[in-house]
Amino acid sequence: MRQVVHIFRKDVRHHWVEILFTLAALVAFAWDEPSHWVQQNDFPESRVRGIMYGFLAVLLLVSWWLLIVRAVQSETLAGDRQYWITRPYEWKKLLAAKILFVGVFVNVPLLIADVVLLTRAGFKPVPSFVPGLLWMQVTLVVFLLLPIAALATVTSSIAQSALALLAVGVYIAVTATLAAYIPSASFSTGSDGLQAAVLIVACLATVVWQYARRKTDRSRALLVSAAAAILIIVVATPYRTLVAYEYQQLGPAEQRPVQLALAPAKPSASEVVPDEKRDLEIQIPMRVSGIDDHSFVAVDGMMLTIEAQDGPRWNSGWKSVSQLLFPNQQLLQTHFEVKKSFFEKVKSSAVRAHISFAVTVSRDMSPRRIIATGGDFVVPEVGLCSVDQRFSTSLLCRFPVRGPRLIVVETASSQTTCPTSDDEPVPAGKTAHGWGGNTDSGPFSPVGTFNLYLWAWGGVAEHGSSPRVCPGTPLFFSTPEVVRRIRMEVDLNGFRPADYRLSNSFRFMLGAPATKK
Amino acid sequence: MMSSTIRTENLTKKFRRVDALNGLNLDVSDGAIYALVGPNGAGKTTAIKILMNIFGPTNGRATVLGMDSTRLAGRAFTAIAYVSENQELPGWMRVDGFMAYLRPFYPSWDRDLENELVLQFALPLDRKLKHLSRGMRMKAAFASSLAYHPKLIVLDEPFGGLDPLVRDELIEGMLERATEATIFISSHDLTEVETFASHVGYLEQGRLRFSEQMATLTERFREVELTFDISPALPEKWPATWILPTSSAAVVRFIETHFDAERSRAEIQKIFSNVRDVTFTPMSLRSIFLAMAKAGREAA
Repeated sequence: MRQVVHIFRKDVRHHWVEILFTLAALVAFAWDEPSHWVQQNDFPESRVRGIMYGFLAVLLLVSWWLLIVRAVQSETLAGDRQYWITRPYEWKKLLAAKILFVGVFVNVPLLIADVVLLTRAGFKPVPSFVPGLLWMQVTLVVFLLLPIAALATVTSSIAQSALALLAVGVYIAVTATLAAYIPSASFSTGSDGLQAAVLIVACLATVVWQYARRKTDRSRALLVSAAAAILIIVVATPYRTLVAYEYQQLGPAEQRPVQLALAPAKPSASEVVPDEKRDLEIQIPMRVSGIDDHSFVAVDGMMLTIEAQDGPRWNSGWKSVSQLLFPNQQLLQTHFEVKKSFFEKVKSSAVRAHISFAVTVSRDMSPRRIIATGGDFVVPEVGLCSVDQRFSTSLLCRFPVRGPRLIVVETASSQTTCPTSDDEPVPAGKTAHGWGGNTDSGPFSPVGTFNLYLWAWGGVAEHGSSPRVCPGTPLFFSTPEVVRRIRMEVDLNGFRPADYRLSNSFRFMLGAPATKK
Repeated sequence: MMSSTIRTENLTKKFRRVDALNGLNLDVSDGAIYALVGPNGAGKTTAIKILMNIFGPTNGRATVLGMDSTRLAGRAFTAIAYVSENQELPGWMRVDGFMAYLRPFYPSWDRDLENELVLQFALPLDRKLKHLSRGMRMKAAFASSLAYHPKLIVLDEPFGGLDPLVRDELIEGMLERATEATIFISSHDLTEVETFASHVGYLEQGRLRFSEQMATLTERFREVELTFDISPALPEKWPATWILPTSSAAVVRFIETHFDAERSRAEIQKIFSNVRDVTFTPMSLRSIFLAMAKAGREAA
């Protein structure tokens, strides 16, 4: 232990500048963080805040990277000219000293900052948060600090480490680009665990091996092999099989949790113009019905298959979506990008088509009734929520460490306490929903936020005024539990692709890139 | 019988397709001052780095202080001092900080000896290592390596690029303070090595050409000059122990590598019966090294 402390103290003396930089970056981050827990409606201010948040997060990352690389390379492992390798260093103690250093100047300050942030956010740092905070530390170590350390052990200078980091960036970009071209890869997360395991094992083995043996060439080869293995996993994963495994096909005799049927296409408001893109977008509206009270159906993924009469067949692959269907919902808009060459062949003919839906059915039989106040109000199992002060159309909630998997808020038009106007009357007997979830805090802050946006009365935009929440408005919060995950096939009878093509004006409204006229 | 501080058996090291060491067999006995000499690229540094477990061997094995070199780590280095001309020291440390930092690593660290070495080498304690001259840095490395009474001192080209004064100071300091240690040194500075080495090994192209006591080495090498009345007939094949033969008019010169006054004279008479005069001149280590290097190049 004496040797561990001795090396640690030397590193503290040597790297006090980097330590101060790291602590300053953390303080700045923690200082700025609470400003993101409140609504940012004014454009310039919210933009500046967003940039500042990104800048401070990057600054914190850079400071940690610098600190770890400098600490590891105080006793450089790559190379054969370092004085220390022929001195009585014991590798386990050297490694322990570096772990102690990172723990003291990265993990502990972050933990303290997390506790301070939780307190500032209004969450008393009760022992129930401790496992969550520790889990955040573990993920930070495993997915950030360990890979940084692994790269630091196989490089001999900051410049080399920076180049290695650049190479990692290029690798991630290439892998992500490649994954975007693989059908269904964006939806299925089935191989993520395996990829993470390969990454962790390779980084851990590299660090331990380097400290124990200093076989730099072999360690580098190990890291490159792991990167190649991850790439192979990304390419070779049977995504559709995994989706089929995770979302079991609904049996013919089983009752569907939701009834979906093709809705008639609406005539396009503007002329459809030729698109120069390889793919073009179609929008298929689906009629929704049959959802039980207190049930919610989350559409996690969709896959469109089109089969022309004369043989050509096209399949979109599973694409990830995030839509929640409520008991009183009537319409679901689905969007797909269709290969242009295929679309041109089949656009005017009636084709056989069907959509596969991967859905998660959740249920909460006892939603909690909470009256909105002018400030923060407590929502059990969630955290603290407040009404958007400017437009009153959404709730901003913050939660400690880990948010609910799914949270749904409901308000009834009959119970609104907001002032009404003759121009925008509140429709009678309607409800509006907002939902969010599947959110973790962080990666550095233990306080997470999400918006519950009340979109439209009855889920249809034409019902006059937007739903609003004011002090005194009763709200029903549900945190539904998963009942089952299933796959449903819906035949699109009488589907003619040309009728569902998204017009350019609508695409523009959706934020799609404009096309030449 | 003396035991071995360093012993290698068929030690081989390949860097991709290059044979840096080729079956090195070495035996350095306790208390010896062994100088490993050889031209650039002969494999001296590679051999030392294998001994210090900086590299692993491709084949063969080495033992250092009775321990397999591949297991040399941690506490084993409390008995070993290693100084190399291109060793990277922690430049940000001051000399006193460097000494203070290393002290707790060595149970046998001798503060009095450290102070003596600092005084002897005139080390500026308050200067950072990176601000020291090359000579001063070497002195700091020496001082930090002698202060714990190592049993084995390994020096890889320690005098390269140093001025004669610094060289003398280092050698003097080393010999004074390390009377009980075995010293293994690789050097180009043959003149200096000759003054203190008890044994010498000559390494060429990864092979050990000879390894013996300094006294027997200088005893068996002679520059030979033969004088004739008329130009002699040169033999088609020269004896294997004669290297670098040259002739001009009535004079023949070569180097006898296994000199024995009677046997050498008889052999000369046998080949050159008309020789008028024979001169045997003792050679310095530097001359022997140069002759061996030149002969090696010609043979290649």
